[in-house]
Amino acid sequence: MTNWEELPQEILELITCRLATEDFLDFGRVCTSWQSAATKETYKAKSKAPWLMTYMRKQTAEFFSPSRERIFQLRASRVATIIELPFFERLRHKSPPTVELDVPKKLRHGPKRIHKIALSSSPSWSSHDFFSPGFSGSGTNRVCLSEIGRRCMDGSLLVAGKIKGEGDAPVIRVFKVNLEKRTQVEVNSLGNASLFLNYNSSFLAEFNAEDPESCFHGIKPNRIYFTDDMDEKKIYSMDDGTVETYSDAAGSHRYTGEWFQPEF
Amino acid sequence: MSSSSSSSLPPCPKKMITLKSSDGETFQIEETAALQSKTLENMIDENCASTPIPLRSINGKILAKVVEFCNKHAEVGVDAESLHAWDAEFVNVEYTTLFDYILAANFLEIPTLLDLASGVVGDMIKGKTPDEIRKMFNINDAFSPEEEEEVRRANQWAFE
Repeated sequence: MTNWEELPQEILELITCRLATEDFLDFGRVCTSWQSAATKETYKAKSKAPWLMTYMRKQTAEFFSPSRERIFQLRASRVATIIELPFFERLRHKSPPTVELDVPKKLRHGPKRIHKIALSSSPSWSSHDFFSPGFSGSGTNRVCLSEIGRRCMDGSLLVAGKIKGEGDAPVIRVFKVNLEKRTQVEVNSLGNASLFLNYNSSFLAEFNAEDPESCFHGIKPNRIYFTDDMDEKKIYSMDDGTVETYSDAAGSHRYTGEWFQPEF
Repeated sequence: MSSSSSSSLPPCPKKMITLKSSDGETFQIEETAALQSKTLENMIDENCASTPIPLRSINGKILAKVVEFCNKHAEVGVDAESLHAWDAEFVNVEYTTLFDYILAANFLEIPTLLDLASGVVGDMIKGKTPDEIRKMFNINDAFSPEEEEEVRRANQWAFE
């Protein structure tokens, strides 16, 4: 008798470890036996296509998944404590070490020198090694980095600077800054990755080249997803410098909110 | 190793073992092919494979396919691409058969077959809602609306 509910636990886990986050969540809602195989402990994301948080109140948050074009509602208590706290405040509380950073010369004009900084990999948000990439205060070249930021990866950060180009169209330039060697190199292409710049957190999402279908749908590579001065979600293309407004596939809904990379 | 005998090597008689399905069918399989199953490997190591091995949880239809799978994967000189195509065809079966493959692969501990079959299940689930998944696999033990709400609430996911 074929009874899919009664598949052994280890087989269910073998199946779940192949699922993208969205499918993983749905898998756990099929039946009680499947639910037990789709827990935080068994989660090994295959694809972590970024989500846009569209709503949050108390302990519930809604996330729009571009790859599924669906809203996922989740209880997300820990997000709340992190994103409600402006990172400057948090950094001040923790009095992190300050790193002097040479701002790329080309960016040394205008009020917004460094608009955003993102780690070259997604930062960990657990309470002790929290790193919030930030933007500089006006008129300073100093950038605050918490300890984890310095230890992360090869010590490199991606610095994205937004300047005004012709007309009012923004131009975003990206530099890879090596904190140990104090060097910086302009990055002309993000390749198979995209940068997501938020006010409280920013990250680089690298897509799985082996399975582009599951990742690229709704999110494009070599783009910078950012919020403009009117609080609208925009996409800057590193390919040709064009800027478009982020909306869902039908173009019917324009979103505000922050980008997240789902990680349990 | 392979079925084609090489002239440069001394002739080595193929060691065969016999498997017996739940419905009494017997199948011969080369020992080298059978070694892909950890369960059979253990029996061979413990010299328990000289008489037909009874597999009470696997019927003849499925066992025949499993033997075919092991033989194919024991073949020498098959390039990865054609093996991949062969695998895809192998698991292009009805859900019930796929289910039986998984249980057989699990019982016999054949990781390649288990990975292949569970991968197909994963692909089928991709992009479907819980309702659609339940329908597809004929799962009736759905949550009540209250339970479902509870599951949703209990999802203590944090975004780290």
